[in-house]
Amino acid sequence: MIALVGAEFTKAVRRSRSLFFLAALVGLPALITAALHARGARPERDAGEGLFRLAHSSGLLVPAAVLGVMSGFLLVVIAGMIAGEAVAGEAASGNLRYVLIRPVSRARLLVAKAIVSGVLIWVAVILVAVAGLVAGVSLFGWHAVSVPGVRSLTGGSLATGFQLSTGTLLTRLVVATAYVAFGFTGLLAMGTLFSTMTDTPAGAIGATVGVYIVSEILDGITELGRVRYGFPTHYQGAWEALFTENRYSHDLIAGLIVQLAYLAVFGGIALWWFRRKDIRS
Amino acid sequence: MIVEGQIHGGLADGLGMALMEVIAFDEDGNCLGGSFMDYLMATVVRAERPTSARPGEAALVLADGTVVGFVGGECAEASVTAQALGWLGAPGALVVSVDAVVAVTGLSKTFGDVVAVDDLSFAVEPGQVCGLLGPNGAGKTTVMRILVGLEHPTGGESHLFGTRVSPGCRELSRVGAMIEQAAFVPYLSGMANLRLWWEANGSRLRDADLDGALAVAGLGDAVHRKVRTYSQGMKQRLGFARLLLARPELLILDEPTNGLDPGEIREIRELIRRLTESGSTVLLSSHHLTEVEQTCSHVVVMNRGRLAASGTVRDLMGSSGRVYVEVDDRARARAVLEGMAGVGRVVADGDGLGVELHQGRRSDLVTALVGAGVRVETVTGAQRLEDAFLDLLESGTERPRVVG
Repeated sequence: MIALVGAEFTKAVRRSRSLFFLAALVGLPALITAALHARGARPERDAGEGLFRLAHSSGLLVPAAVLGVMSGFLLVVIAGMIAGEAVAGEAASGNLRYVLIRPVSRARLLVAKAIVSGVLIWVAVILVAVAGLVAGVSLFGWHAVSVPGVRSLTGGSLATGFQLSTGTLLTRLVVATAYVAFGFTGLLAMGTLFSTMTDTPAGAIGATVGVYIVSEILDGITELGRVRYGFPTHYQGAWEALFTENRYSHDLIAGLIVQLAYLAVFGGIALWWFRRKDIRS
Repeated sequence: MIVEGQIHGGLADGLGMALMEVIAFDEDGNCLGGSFMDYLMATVVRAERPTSARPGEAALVLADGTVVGFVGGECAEASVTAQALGWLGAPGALVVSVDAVVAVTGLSKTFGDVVAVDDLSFAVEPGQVCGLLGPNGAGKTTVMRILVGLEHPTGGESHLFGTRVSPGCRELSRVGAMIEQAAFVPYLSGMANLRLWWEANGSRLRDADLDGALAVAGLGDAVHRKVRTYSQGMKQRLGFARLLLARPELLILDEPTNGLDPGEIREIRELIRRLTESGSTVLLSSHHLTEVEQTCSHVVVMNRGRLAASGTVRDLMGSSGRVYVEVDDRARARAVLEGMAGVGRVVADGDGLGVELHQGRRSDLVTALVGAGVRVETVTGAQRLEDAFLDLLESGTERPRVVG
């Protein structure tokens, strides 16, 4: 299994576009941080922007702000490409049949590909966080953060202020990074399933990203009520409360459970489908 | 020696082989399908082994008294049949061979309403170079894909080295296959592709026949270039290198020269010839009948998913009832042959004459020509496999023709 994972990892990372993504994952956080620094702190205009407003206070909050931005698009596209291409990409090049005419179980091959997809998205998320941290600390410094309370128009207190030490910020940054990375589990499982169902990688990638977009749209329709709790993107922002509200939300646990459920259901279907599929590419 | 017992238990043990892994031929050498095997397994009551029997040989006695020859060993089908009939003394006895490298019994595959393969049975014995022929859409590629576990049959079974094929089964380690065109990870070098493919299931590259494979491919330094820069011929050669890494006992080659230019076709044909000379068993599908004629010892002809004919190339060419005669005086020879009884149409063909023999023998034909003062240079069976092949497809017989 280790050899199979190693082979799949080599195939995944040695694509020429891997370098482009690597540059984007490191360069974009630096660019966003530079832009944030150039704009300067304008609390009256930034009110309500949460993490970006707080990021001016400490470089330790910049990676969280960057993760919030990039987990909504670029990382979704990368997750879609990694998972969508896993099987369909090889089928399109015709190489899949040569991988499968060896004494290799299809289930093991798919699991190996899924492991590689998971590792790569974790690496991508960690790269974003580390790049944001380096850029943030360079430009905004290494400080504790003081979050002011929020008062209502009548003068009553809606939320009390709090302090986040550098140690707390770092710990929560690790938790947030892990949560963001794990938040792609369901999407990867669906992408892997789509990838087994077509020989056209663009189709599998499009379907994967499409599911994310549709989930986001539907999640915005509050009339759908509790149904939204089952959408793969519903709890994706639950980690932000670690920084903006100084608490570990129950939504973090709910988010993990939803992702595991998607992994079990779509991963199971992908395995079942791939094992019985006729390889005709 | 008498072995009695249940077919799935003691009897199979007594014979030292699993009856699920056999393929059967009738007294004419026709390959029998899965329905016969079901019948056989349901009705065998005992197995007998005469003292003269060799390992793997036995007589199976069915419930209705029918005696079935059960023969292993490295015997050619025809000699097996004759031998079994001889020592069984049972007219109409059936012969079962367990040693086929490839055994396909009652194989069917449908895609929706389309029947790609229909109750196909054939076997490839050790050392044979077997051509799988048929027009486009005959089902050849589907059969090959089923044989290497890429597709699941709708009915029937396929076996490699006596083991039923399933996706990723262990016997695939003994098989080198090229299904349609060779394909690789395009952004990796040829060498990286070989290494990755070989090591993916935990094998060590030092255990592979890398030097031999690279020598066969003959790519030189180009093996370190990215595959996307290769011509189709280079990819095909690298494909051969890949399948030879494991020193396979069986090669399954599906249209290996498709899409190549004449020079590349020649190179690949030469490569196949060298491989077959090394004793590998080969199942080869090709549209190039000249290639099959030059390369293969046996052929299996498919038409619309069914078996149209099987046997040796020589006999298939001969079975068309045509002979090709090369003489020094074609006009005189033609006049002589057209006047002979048992001879049909005589047509000019290249440097010689194509002669349809209805009843007469080749020796009669030669005697008549020599008697008329015509020098006979060559007399062969049907002059080209292509003619026999086309005759076979045009005749569209329901029953498969088994020759040889």
